[in-house]
Amino acid sequence: MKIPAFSSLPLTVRAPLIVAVLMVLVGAIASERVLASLTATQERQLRDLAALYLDGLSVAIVPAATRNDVWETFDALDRAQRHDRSVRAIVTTVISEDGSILASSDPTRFPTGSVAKASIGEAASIDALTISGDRRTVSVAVPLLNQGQRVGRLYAELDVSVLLEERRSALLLLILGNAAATLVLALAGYLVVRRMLRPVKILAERMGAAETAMPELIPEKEVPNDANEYALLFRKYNSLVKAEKERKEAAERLAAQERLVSLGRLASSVAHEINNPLGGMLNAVDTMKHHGDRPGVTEQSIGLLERGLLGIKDVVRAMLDTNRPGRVDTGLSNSDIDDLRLLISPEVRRLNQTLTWAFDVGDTAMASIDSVPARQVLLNLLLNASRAAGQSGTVKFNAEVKQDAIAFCVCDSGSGLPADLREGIELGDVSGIRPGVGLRTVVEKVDQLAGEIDVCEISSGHTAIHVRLPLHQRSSKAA
Amino acid sequence: MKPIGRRRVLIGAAAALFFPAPAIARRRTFLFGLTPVFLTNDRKLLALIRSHIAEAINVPVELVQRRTYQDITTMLLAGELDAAWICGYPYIRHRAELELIAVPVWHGRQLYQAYLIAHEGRDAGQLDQLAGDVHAFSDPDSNSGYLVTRSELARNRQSPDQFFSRAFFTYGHRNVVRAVSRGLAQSGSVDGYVWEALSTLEPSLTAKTSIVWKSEWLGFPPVARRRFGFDAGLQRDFAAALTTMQKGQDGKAALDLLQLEGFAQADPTLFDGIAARVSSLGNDG
Repeated sequence: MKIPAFSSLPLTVRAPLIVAVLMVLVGAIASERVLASLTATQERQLRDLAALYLDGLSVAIVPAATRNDVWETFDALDRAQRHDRSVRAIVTTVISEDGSILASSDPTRFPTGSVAKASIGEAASIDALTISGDRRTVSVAVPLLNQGQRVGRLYAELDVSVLLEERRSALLLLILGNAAATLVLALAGYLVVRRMLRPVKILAERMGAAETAMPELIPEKEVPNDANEYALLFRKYNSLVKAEKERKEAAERLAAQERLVSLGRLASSVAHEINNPLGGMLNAVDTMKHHGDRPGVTEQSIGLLERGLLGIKDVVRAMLDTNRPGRVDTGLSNSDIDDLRLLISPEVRRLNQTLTWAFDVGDTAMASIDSVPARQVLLNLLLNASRAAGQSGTVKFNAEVKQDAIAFCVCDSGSGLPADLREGIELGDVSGIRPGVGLRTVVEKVDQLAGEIDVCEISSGHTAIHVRLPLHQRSSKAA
Repeated sequence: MKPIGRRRVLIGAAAALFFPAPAIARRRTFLFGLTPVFLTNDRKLLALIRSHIAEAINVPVELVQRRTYQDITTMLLAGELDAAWICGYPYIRHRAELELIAVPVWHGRQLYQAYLIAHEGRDAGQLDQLAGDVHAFSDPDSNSGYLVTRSELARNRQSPDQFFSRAFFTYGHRNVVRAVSRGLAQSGSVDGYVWEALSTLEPSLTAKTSIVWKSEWLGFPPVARRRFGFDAGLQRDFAAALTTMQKGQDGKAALDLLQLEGFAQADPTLFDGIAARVSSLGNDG
């Protein structure tokens, strides 16, 4: 099982864990200090008891040791063996000055008359007595003095198992105590942090929901009453939600206005486009009225009427294709590009502009691009370019396949885009784009088509807007 | 009341002048010395002995104990004690100054043996096999606890110091058993009566020892007094107290604790065996 990274754990788990780790650390340090102090106390106690015991025993055995009296020495050592002390002598032995054993409380280990073992010579003095590791016995030796004259040595092996047991019990109690304290504090930390973070959890849930839907206000009853950071945070959040709602409403209003403006301009253009054939058609009707009896006039007038009506039909169809809601999108095609040219032509003629049109992309390549948003993008760019180019200006349109995308370029001979507008287009931020110029629609639709847009100044002062629409975006979106 | 005649007064005065009463006779307390022959540390036993004797002789009794046989023997010879329970060895050495009062009866006889003992499991059946041991003696004035072993060694012209690697005195037969039992000594010289009594009273102590060798039967440690300077009446009462000890309640209880049947008068020839061993030592004895 993979262990999750610590930073990925929730704060309600991390905080108690940190408390537990700190408690364990503090507990370990405190325990080490307590045990060190206990050890020092026990060693001092051991030295005191050993000194008391051996001094008392020395007084009893020095006369016998001075006389080399084996029995009296043994009797004194044997009677001094008691088993109810915290520090008990396992064996006591008197060594004569010649290095032989005079008597021992355990004659089997230390036979009278035998040479003292090396271990006796290595026994510590009382001042150097320590309790080390798990050794249950310590060895100590003191000189036996009679009126200042050394008459031998008293060697003792002391059983310190009681002291070790005390130390072991203390360690066990410390471990259990620290473990209990750590557990309790970790649990308390978990509950406290969980309670403290409950507002954050509410806020996180609200913000998480805002990723897929409009953020909702936190009901006033859920806002903490206290004037603490959480109350402030909740109120700030609600303020943000309100501001976002207002901004969205404003954006919708602006979009509606923009649609109306675009529609007006399109209607004007279409009216102009329809008006031209209408003039010819009315002339044809008038000609047929006055000269209908002339041979060939009727056929000529009818032909004229038919061409005019066909022109109007094309315009209406192009408009329907561009704006009809609910239309089944079959993908961008050359006919869409032709419609764009048809729709922009009246405006170009009205302003006596030069339109340069370079387009050579097959239907197959373009079919993967949604036609409706693409037509809206390109039509708006062309209308804007025409308006920017002004009377007798130049508008250029070209497109080519570049790698996995189609690169469209709409260029005009106008004075260029304002800096803020240009930055808004390039960053995809429509909030700063003023309504009425259609660019808000352009930015939104390019984003919808997963494309990119950028603006550049051409050396002659012309402005070029490049739109790069990825191929296959329909299938990828569908996926 | 019949008046006292002048002649009787004069005779009494002359007797007081030429035959002064011994110092002991004037004492109000009977002093009875005890050597560490047996369980002299048993306070109940001592109380019973004192109670029986005091009741029998109608004089308060003080039991005097010292660490060594020599201390008690010296006090007895110096007239500081009315009587003492001593060992046969000091009795023989000072038989010119000492007189037997009574000798204990054990198993129907006034005899006992000296034992040589070793630690349990020791494969030894005679003294020779104890050569080089650390050996425990009871007392330098003890027959069974020293004299017997020393005289046995003397037969081979050896001394304890030569024969044993180390020898020491414990000043008590029980201590000898204890020393051997604990391993302080590898072998010991002990009173056979004491060892047998201990095997009943403290079997755990004797269980860790085994008997290596037993001596011939020898005179049991006697109760003796100085041959002179004593209160004859008091001594007569004291001897009677001992020989009738089994008839008194406290006396019987004391004898039961001692595992003895009683005390009886004895002839000095009872100690000829000890005397022979002393003689075998020559001047060293």
